[in-house]
Amino acid sequence: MHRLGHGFTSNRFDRRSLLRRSAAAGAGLAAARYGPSVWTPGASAATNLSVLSPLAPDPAPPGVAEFAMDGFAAWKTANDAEVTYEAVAWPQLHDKMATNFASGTHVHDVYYMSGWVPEFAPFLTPLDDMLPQDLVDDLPPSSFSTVTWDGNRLGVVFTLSLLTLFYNTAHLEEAGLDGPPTTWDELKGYAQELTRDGRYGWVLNYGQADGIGGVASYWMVFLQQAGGTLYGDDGAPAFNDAPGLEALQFMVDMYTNGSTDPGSISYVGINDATNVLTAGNASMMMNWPFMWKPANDPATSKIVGQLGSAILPAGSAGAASIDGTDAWTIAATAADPELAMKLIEFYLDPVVQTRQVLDTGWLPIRLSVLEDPEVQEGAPNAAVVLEQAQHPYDSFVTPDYTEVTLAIGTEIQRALQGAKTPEEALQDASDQVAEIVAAREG
Amino acid sequence: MAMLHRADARSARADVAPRQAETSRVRGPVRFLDDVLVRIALLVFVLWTLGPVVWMVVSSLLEQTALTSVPPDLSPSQFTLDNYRGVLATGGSLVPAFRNSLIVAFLTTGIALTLGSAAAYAIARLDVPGGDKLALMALATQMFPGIVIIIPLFIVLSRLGLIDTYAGLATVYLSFILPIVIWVLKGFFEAIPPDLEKAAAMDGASTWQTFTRIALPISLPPLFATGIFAFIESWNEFMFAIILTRVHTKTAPIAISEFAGQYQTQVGQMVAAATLASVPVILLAIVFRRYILMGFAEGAIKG
Repeated sequence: MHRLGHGFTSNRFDRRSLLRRSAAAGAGLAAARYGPSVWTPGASAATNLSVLSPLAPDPAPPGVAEFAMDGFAAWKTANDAEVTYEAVAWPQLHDKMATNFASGTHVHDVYYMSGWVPEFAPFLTPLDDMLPQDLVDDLPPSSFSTVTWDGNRLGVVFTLSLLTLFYNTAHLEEAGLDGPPTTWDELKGYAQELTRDGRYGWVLNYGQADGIGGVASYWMVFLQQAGGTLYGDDGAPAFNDAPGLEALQFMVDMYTNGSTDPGSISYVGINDATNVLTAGNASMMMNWPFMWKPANDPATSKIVGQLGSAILPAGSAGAASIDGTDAWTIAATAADPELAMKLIEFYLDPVVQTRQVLDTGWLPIRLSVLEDPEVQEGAPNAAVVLEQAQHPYDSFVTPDYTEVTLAIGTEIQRALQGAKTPEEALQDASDQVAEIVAAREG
Repeated sequence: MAMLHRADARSARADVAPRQAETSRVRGPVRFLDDVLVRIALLVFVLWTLGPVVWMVVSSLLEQTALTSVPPDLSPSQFTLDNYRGVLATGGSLVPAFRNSLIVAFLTTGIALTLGSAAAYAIARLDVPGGDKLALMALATQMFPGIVIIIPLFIVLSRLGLIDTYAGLATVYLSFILPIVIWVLKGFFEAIPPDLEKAAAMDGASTWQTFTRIALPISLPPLFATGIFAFIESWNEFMFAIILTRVHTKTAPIAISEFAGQYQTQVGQMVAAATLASVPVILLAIVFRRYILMGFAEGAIKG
């Protein structure tokens, strides 16, 4: 107690307190010296362009993915530009950019988009007057459908990413099936024939309702193959008709006849379904072109050399697909849109596009590159995707695409699980989408 | 008289002994059953608690193809350290993320304990006008879901130039960790016998001196327990970090999430990174387990 009392009442500078105060002063000086780097590590050299991009192996530009690096360095030198990437895991991209735009502050100049162009249209720069004609001429005209809103081209798709059919050639051979299915009837028959030895004929991720790559978007593929469309000319939902029902009934039949992996209803991401196919536990699925590379990588696949690809089987109205819509856009707040456009042009340069497909597996969008024999040899599925692109591939994106696909996807899931008949599910989905469209149009 | 008492006592003991023996014979099987049930319940609890951790470690040692097989292929040939090699090969993003998490977690914990202990002591012991209301207001901040305030927070931090900085992240973390720290420590300070502080006052101690030399030293266990809580909260936080960081201050949970893409998820590497990320927290718990247990024990009997 005496010690405490002494300590409490002492105000003298004894040796201990002097040391203590010196240490505090030293810490303060150190904080002043090193503080800024600790507190604001983001304070770096000024940059000319800031880009929000997905991380590789999702479709990423040079500098995030390792390709065309020499060209990228040369471009930066030639344009006296610095490029800062914020590379984000794909599942976080949408929320990240939604926050950026909602804040009203300038964050990035160039944004990656995947079907979100209509949603973020007010925050993007129209590119119609900036796109070089020779570039436009070398792109599939329909590639602009998902990046155009209110008559403005707001982005440029940089990879041809359409759903096509992938199948295990060894399984088909074992079952005595000659070549991939080309019609719905064949697809149904193949799936049943291939369901054997503990594996399933068909697998897909029906666990996710919304978005591109959700169950609603898969139904849109069948819808177009049956000759249907999501919206009429007046913008109102037009899918509660014979083609819509035919498409949903086909999905339900495939699911309930036992040829679809029952886990499909719980697989949320395309990864989950892909893993089943690459593990050899299913024989067919529809998937994006990127699947080709990991399915032929021994580190991630048990079916190396056994993967086949073909255009999706045709329904009563023919073949069809949907577009993954991976595109580059320019923010309306970009300080130098011309420089941003130059960067996008660099991403779409034929040499960069060639390296993109050969080094990362992501197909180019330029027709001249897709037709290049070197590219077709390096990416054997390129020709198939190009052929698929000759048929309709509308993804029906709107500003409320997530709400629309959530409503439709949830009803499709109920139909697949037998909680509703396809007719009931389609009627309910149509009613919900009508309300969403009415709210959109005010 | 004394002999009589001893005799009575012996007689009483003689009466009690057979009754105890009889009771223990009756209660023996019941007690045994109780013990068995308690042990089974504890075993189930331990398995339930450790199960996910064990599975995380096992998953981190399996090949991707074995992990994604249905059911997972657990044959010995499938076990490998490749996931850890892969994670360390991508150390360009993971190592800085771990460093960032450590900096933010220590910064948050240090400030939370410094401010929280002072605020808690003031509310608990000093005659602060509206102290109880202040405490309730601090608690009320917990009622707002983070997602509701994330855009306003982003705007404020953006205008202050605090996006992608440690200070920005720590400030936001403090907004939800500090109230908890205040409330937990307030309970501990209220349970300190007032006589101790009175004795200090009689020795001439000021309020600050009483706080720093009496209240804080005897509250080390709850301070450590609360500090561990604050550390874990900021170490694990994901939602604010994903929005408020960009390039330089990405934290460990963000780096772990980056193994999941749109078309491909490196499940093995993701769990390997998660296993590594849990090491600092486990180490902290091991090093300070004595204080944590004391803190919990005191929390169990104090107001």
